[in-house]
Amino acid sequence: MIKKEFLDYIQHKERIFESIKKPRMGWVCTYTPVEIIIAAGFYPYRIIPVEDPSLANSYLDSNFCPYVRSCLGEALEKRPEYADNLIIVNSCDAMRRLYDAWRHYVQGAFIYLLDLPRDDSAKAIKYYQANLQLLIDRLEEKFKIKISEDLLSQAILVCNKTRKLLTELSDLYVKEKISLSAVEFLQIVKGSMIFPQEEYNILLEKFLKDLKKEENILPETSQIKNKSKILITGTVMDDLSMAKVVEDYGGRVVFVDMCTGNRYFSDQSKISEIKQTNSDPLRVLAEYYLRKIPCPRMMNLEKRWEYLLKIIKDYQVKGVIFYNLKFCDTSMFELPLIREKLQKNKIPSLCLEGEFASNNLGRVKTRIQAFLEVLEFAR
Amino acid sequence: MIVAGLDIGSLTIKAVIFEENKIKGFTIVPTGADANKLTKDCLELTLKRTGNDFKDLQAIVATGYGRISVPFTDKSITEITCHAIGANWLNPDTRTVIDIGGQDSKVISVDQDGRVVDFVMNDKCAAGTGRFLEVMANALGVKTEELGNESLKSKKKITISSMCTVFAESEVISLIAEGCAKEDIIRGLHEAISNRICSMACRLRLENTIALTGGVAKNIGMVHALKKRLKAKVYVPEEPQIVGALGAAIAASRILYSE
Amino acid sequence: MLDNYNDNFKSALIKKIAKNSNTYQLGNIGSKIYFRKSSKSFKLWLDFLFYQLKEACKKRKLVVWTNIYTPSELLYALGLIPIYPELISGVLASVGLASYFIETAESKFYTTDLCSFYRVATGLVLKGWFPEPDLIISSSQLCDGSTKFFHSISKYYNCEHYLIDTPYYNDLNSQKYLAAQLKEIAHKIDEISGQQLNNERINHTFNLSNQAREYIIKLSKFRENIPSPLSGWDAMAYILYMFFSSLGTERGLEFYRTLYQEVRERVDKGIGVIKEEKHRILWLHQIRPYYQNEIIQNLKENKAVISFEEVSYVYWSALDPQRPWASLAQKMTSNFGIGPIERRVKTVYDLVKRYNIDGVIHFSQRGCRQSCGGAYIIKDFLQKKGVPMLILDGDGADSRNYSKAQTRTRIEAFLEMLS
Ligand SMILES: Nc1ncnc2c1ncn2[C@@H]1O[C@H](COP(=O)(O)OP(=O)(O)OP(=O)(O)O)[C@@H](O)[C@H]1O
Ligand code: SF4
Ligand code: SF4
Ligand SMILES: [Mg+2]
Repeated sequence: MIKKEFLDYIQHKERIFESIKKPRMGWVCTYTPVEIIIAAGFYPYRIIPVEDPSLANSYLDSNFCPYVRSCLGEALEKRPEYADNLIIVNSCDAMRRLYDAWRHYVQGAFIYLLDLPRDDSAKAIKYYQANLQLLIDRLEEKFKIKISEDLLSQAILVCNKTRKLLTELSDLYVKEKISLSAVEFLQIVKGSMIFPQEEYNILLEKFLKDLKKEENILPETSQIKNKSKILITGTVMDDLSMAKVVEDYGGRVVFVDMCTGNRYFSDQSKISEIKQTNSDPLRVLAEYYLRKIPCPRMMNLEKRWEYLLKIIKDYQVKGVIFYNLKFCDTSMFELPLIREKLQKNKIPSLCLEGEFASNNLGRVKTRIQAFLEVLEFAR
Repeated sequence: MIVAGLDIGSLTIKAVIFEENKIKGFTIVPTGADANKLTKDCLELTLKRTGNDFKDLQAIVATGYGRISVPFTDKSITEITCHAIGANWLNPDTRTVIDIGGQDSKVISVDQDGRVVDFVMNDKCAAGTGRFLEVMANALGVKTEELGNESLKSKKKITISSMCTVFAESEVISLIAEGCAKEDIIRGLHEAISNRICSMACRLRLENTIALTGGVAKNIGMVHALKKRLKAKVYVPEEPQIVGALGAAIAASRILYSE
Repeated sequence: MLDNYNDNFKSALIKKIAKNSNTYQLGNIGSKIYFRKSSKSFKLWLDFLFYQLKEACKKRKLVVWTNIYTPSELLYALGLIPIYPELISGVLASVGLASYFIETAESKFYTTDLCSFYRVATGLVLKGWFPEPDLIISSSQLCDGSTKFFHSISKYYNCEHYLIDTPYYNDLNSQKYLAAQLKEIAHKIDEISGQQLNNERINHTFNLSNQAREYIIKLSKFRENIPSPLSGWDAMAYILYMFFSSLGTERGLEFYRTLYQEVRERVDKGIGVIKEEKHRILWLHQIRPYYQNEIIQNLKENKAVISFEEVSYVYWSALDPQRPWASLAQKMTSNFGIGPIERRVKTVYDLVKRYNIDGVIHFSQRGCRQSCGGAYIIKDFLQKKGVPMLILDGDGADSRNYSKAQTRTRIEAFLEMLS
């Protein structure tokens, strides 16, 4: 499959929704075990709003995370499309309030808040596992279905495959073996969040196979070795124009440490194949989700820093760009500490405030360009 | 019975002389450093116009930001209550008042007797106020009074995303640099403000008729943008800027009645 | 009764602080700065505040930094000396010292979008003003900012951070998870301190807390009185400090006993906070602005009084020393601020009825996601019941976000609407 066609196909939410007639279940946080949604016979899609967050002004103040506000704004605006099913995770104050506002102002058939612990201790895993069971109970009760262990195991396999394929793509991308821009790479990741997983796996596999054909592999010489390698770290980035600006000005984004980037699929602790370990699939899920690369919301700064440092070394990162959505308390508190650690390691960094849509791109452009000039100069 | 209402706003001072349920005269002057003196001058100017004397006034009520500091008044009432009273007197069908002044915008729900049922106000910054429009007009090299008519010429939709005065100004400047037409930018600004006002207004139960008051309601472009967005019955008084002062004057006459 | 305590306190504290920037000395002189005008309970609070700072400086016991809603009984039973950065931030704001710390924090990339109380606290840390923690115990239920603040600070001081991860739901599974965490923390601290947590200590602490609780309940009952005998403005200042930090101590019990007597006297004599009480207000959110501001005067001039505030509501049942962990866990999960908004809505409405409330003011702290996100739903609900509510935007600790005139207009317009 050709790149253009593929990218075009996976990008249009409305078209996908139209062509795939399966009951949908929305999610908003990458700690949602989509495996359970699949096992329940739904197709999971991440809510990626395009509407202006100010539509939610009447219910959530403007000093709330713009992603959350956008989700609510869009739901209020296009009610029927969203008023079906939704799982929210108790990831932060904003999400909790989204859950309240959604129930009061949007409503819908099924809306559930899944509680999420803040570390990966044995107790937390046990607790999370029990919470997953509660979710399953609710789904079974509400939709009169049975979510068997078998169904769960199968769903895990499907999602494992997606994660594996995306990791493969990311490797090819980082090594610059293929011609793929950061924006395109991120679009493919994004696509995997709004497409039904099984169908997506087939598409992506075909696309990868095509990419890996000899004629598509770039010759060594064409690899632009002298670009500044950039790591973007943050929370959520649905508007990709910032990544585009980085590349337009001659940077190369090698890793996107975000819920909408590498964090979504790169698993440090590999999720085990259920059949081999012979353990309870819920247990496996609880372990996987709590042990994956933590987002700022988890209380494990050390782990986050170690893994960031490893990426920086492995990928020869020259500069780090922070892109935290505004008003996200946990990432706002983390930023100064990580910044300081970067400074100690002589890694320059740039802090950008994440709006939901690319407001003020002009100002962002100037800052990114200046930052790249600094990196250039340092070499 | 002659009474006066004074609205000492952040940008303008308004005085209304009210006699036997009629507006006898009014004056609008800009607010300055010495608000007390200016208010007094404003009132005296109005009295001169109506052929009255300060001694004729049986009650004076002050409203607006400077309401507390004016010494010669009988009572001070907030502009929220006053705009509600004034709008109700002008048009008893009014159930919602949107007052866009110099530094504040307010949406007020009123009942059939002109009593305030609920209200919301903008947060601290100047976004969505007259001051914001003045800064933009300045950046565009257009007089504030001309904004309305200019925007009506617009043929192309431009979306202005920034609402912070400083950022919006730089956005406007870069739009000019990109060669966008003035009228389109102005319309974009009006629409941005009206979106902001409406999302604030949604916090109240919006009911017909909606009266637009405050100086910004004199801007025809703003009125258009609001009408389009509100999709409701909109009423704009002949002189929207004095509605607060008018409400204060009516309140003054009620003090007399109740005494 | 103590509406003007701020001024007295301010001048005394500023003078002292200017002389001794070292908190140990602050602890030493603390007990001496009494004011003739202040009530006995106020003095007891001041004593308590300085006593704890002093003890913390002496380092004879383990110093723990903690936050409100972490059950203080746990800390006292374990023989720890707690320091409450966000409560102290409020005190500093009330004496006009907050901006100095806020600016310090902001210069280190802590943005203005964060809650000002934690910006002050961060400034305190960066300036090294307070006794360093040996360990940190915080609960996640207050807000995200608080949770992450303590986590960051533990990295800064390189000490253990025990997070009490408070579950969302109030079911058995959640209580078990919580109880297990509390128990584990207790064991870890026993190991560090080398002491043994025994039943006797638990008994003692829980009893003190339960007795104080009885007084708080009686006080709450008094506050149903018309005229209101106690101003919410005080209740959200030094009384709030004691509410969160003193339960389980002798001093805490004495404080509440004294306060009870003071309020009782006023009730008996029919003395109200203001002479003519026209509007009874319920204040929502745990806090109020602490720096110099005119809000309470604005209310007073318009004959309004804060009759009650949600933060003073006793939501938990008496602690049971026989089942310490389950009992503390229950205290935490029965907080109406956790879980779906309906819990809070219900409590608020109950308070409206119980205290004969005419209007509700929700103080929307800039930078607070925890409380403010629910304000519109509460307002909608109350409106349907015919209870007006004002959402008052403001800032509790950062006076730069306070606009005198704008705040006044909002409050007055709201009260005019109630008339
Ligand atoms: N003819 C006009 N055309 C367009 N705008 C106008 C016109 N006249 C006044 N304005 C706008 O009205 C604003 C002043 O309105 P108004 O007098 O109601 O404010 P104010 O009462 O002083 O302010 P506030 O109520 O916020 O304290 C000015 O900012 C100006 O932009
Ligand atoms: S970005 Fe932050 S505030 Fe927004 S949803 Fe994620 S954790 Fe919550
Ligand atoms: S005001 Fe809100 S954000 Fe600040 S400490 Fe309290 S709960 Fe947290
Ligand atoms: Mg005005």
